[in-house]
Amino acid sequence: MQQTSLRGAQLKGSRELSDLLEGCEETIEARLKDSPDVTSFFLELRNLLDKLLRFRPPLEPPSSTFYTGLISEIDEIGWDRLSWLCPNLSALHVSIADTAGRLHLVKVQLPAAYPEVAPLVTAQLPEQVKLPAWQPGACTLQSIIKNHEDAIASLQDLWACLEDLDREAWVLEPENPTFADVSRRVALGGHCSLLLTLDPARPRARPSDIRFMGSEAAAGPLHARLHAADAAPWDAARLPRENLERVLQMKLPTRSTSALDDISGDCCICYAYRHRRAPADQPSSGGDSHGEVPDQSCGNPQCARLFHRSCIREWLLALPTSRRSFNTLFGECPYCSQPITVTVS
Amino acid sequence: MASKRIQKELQDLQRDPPTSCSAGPAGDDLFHWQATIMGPGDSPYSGGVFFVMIHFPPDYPFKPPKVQFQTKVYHPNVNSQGSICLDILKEQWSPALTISKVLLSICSLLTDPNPDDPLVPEIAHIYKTDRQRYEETAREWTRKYAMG
Repeated sequence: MQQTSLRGAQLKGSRELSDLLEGCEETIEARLKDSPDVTSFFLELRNLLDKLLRFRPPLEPPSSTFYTGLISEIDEIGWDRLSWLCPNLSALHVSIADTAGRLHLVKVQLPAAYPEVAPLVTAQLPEQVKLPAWQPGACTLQSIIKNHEDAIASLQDLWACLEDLDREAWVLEPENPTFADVSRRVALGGHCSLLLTLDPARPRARPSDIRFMGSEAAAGPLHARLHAADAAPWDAARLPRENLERVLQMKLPTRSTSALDDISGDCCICYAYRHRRAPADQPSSGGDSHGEVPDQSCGNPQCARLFHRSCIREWLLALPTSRRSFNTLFGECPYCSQPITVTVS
Repeated sequence: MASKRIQKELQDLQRDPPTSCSAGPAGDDLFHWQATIMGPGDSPYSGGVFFVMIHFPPDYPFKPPKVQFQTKVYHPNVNSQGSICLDILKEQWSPALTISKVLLSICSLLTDPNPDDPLVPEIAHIYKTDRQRYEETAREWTRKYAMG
């Protein structure tokens, strides 16, 4: 609850620093807003400065061979494929359309010493996908694009499987999946959800990691069905969603067939799924996939609401009617008033 | 954490607004809302539009929101500062409640005052002993302060 913020704080520095950070005002403001304390802000600032210094336009412009080399490399790719080119030619974006019509963007930043120094290449691909490393002399922009095209071609079925889930099930997390996300948390109803992660190389194989989230009363029977000896075998010819529905013997709820109330699996106190922890535990990136999930539930099957341990604990601790015995708090569910217990560690 | 919850309550309010109430942030501050309540048809407040200020504490929903009438109301449980005497805004608060439910409770408080737990004893006394006079005054205040 002790959330602090640097919102409204201002960064002042020497002339040199100001020049370097010129154009990054929005980023700095966002970092100030997001950083819980000064230390984490300065870590963010250092990362930003590292990046800026690496790609800072050199005092001397790159040699003419940089430009002639680059122009001929872009000729090879084809100018019509560039979706953006930095006016000083230090960065470019190339778009790749795949067979299903998805548009992928490969972003390339070129250091002044390119091609001796590797360019910084970013694209939305699952982290399991490894692309060949840059080798000066042997690699070109065209080979980078070719590597991405090959990777994208090999991931077509993965994305088809994930898009089927996005379309035919109710995906709770991630809220706006990117091409890099291979996990989905789908709603099952009854304050219960399922997290599955597909293998980019074998998207239709039975995922090694299928986790149920929800109260024991709601998730227990589904978990038992998944692991039952007579469960329908996983059929690699079908989509993962179809297999799930066969094995769990249920139609996955969709946004159009269900009400939001018992679907989300969010904590019924703070209405969030991920509980943002104290600033020290908060990682600077990917904050959405970290933090406590609601794993405490009301034992009343008619209620079965989920709570973060820290939320229900904080609520019960504030009530005069709650009792504490050793490490256990006894109180009432804020929704149905039935007894609920939570450990205090 | 409070802001996530408040944002979701706002979304739910916009998707499924309660009858005769509306609410939303008064400005840029998500923790500061303004709501309107239409006087219930079966009460002397009928026809009036009442403005209500809502302030969320930083530890919402562990602590109740602060809710105050900005429009003058003649009511045993609302004082001249606009403070409301309502159990769910005090010791009966629970995180299971939402702003939408609070506003609906205020609506029913307008219809059914609680003179046994009054904030303004004089009005409660009149309500108990001379209902007609209470209703006349409440209607007059509604006309004067909550219309046009």
